[in-house]
Amino acid sequence: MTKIANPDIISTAKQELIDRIKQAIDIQGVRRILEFQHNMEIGENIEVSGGDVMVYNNQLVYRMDFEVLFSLSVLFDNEGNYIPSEDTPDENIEELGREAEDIIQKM
Amino acid sequence: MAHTIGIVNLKGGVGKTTTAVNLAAYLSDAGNRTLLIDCDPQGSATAMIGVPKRKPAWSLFDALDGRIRLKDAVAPAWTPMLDAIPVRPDFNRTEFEDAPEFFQKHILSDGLNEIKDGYDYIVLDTPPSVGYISINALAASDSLLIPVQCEYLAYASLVRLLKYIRHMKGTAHPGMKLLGVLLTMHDGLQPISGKIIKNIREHLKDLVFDVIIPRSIDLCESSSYGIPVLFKSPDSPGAVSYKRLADEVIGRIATSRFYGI
Ligand SMILES: Nc1ncnc2c1ncn2[C@@H]1O[C@H](COP(=O)(O)OP(=O)(O)OP(=O)(O)O)[C@@H](O)[C@H]1O
Ligand SMILES: [Mg+2]
Repeated sequence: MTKIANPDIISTAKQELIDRIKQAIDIQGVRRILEFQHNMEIGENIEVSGGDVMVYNNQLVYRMDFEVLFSLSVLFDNEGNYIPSEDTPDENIEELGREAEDIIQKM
Repeated sequence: MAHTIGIVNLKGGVGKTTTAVNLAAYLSDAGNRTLLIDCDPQGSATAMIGVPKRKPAWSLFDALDGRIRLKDAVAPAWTPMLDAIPVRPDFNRTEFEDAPEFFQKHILSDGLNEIKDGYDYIVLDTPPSVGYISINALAASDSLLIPVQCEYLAYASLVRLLKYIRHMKGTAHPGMKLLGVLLTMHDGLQPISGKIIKNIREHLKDLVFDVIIPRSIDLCESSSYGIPVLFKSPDSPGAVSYKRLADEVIGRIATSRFYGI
């Protein structure tokens, strides 16, 4: 194959373009989109980790990758047994279940 | 002759329209002549059934108030096996919604009797309210499919809905049957989801469909594209789950596995 351009320069130019775009990104806007897409809270801990230029639906687009830091915790007792987090009291759910069953049986 | 499935829940946003549209798409995809009727004046199902974007020629309302025959409101939808009756938001006719319960509650079922022979399944998407149109939809349904989100408040409103259905069965529609309860928008990360599923299965047993619809971005996206998920991302978890639902529905109806009779 005949080389007609310097690949190093192309590669550097591409990287420069990505770097410039990185700086132009509204990171808070991205955070809101990702929070909506994934149905979770991301907070401030979000960083650009990489990016690329690609073709999507017949147009040139930029893909940016982000890294998000999460802090999650679980509870367990002295025996090491996992304690599920508090949510709806079980008896409330059970009451609904009994009521529903009762209606169905009498229907 | 067609079996008419009413997709009902008085609670809003539980996945009625998503279920109606995707169930109808998969029933037709399995080779069944299927008719989807949008009984909700919000027109969400109409936006997803491929009836040309331009103003549909006729709306369900035109048939309900006797201007045309129901069969004349039928329009071709996505595939040759799928037809639809669209609805056009019509705010001049909101007085319809307030019509007394006893008033003409069989118009829809009378209309359907004329066209039932042409279909294997008719799917009704209904509004999240009690009114003239939803009463007509209940009266026209051979069986009811109830989507319920895997959440506490949704479970509580399922109990209210069952009471309402029992009331309707006692007064207006003695033949009413339940096809099943469908758990929707399941999110494995929420502990409450798992608890509700376990409890609902324990108490309502076989009434609950085996398949559980996961919370899936593909379902959300396909509605924003205005198409059933089958045509957008057929391999996504949401699509696969609605295909399984269609199989279960076909099986239950074929073997007359109904509840509340
Ligand atoms: N399994 C799911 N995963 C993710 N999003 C979903 C799922 N099911 C439905 N949705 C989305 O949730 C919203 C409400 O769903 P849908 O319109 O089907 O509910 P509905 O019961 O018909 O609401 P309404 O009572 O207003 O008619 C829609 O935006 C829909 O795209
Ligand atoms: Mg709806």
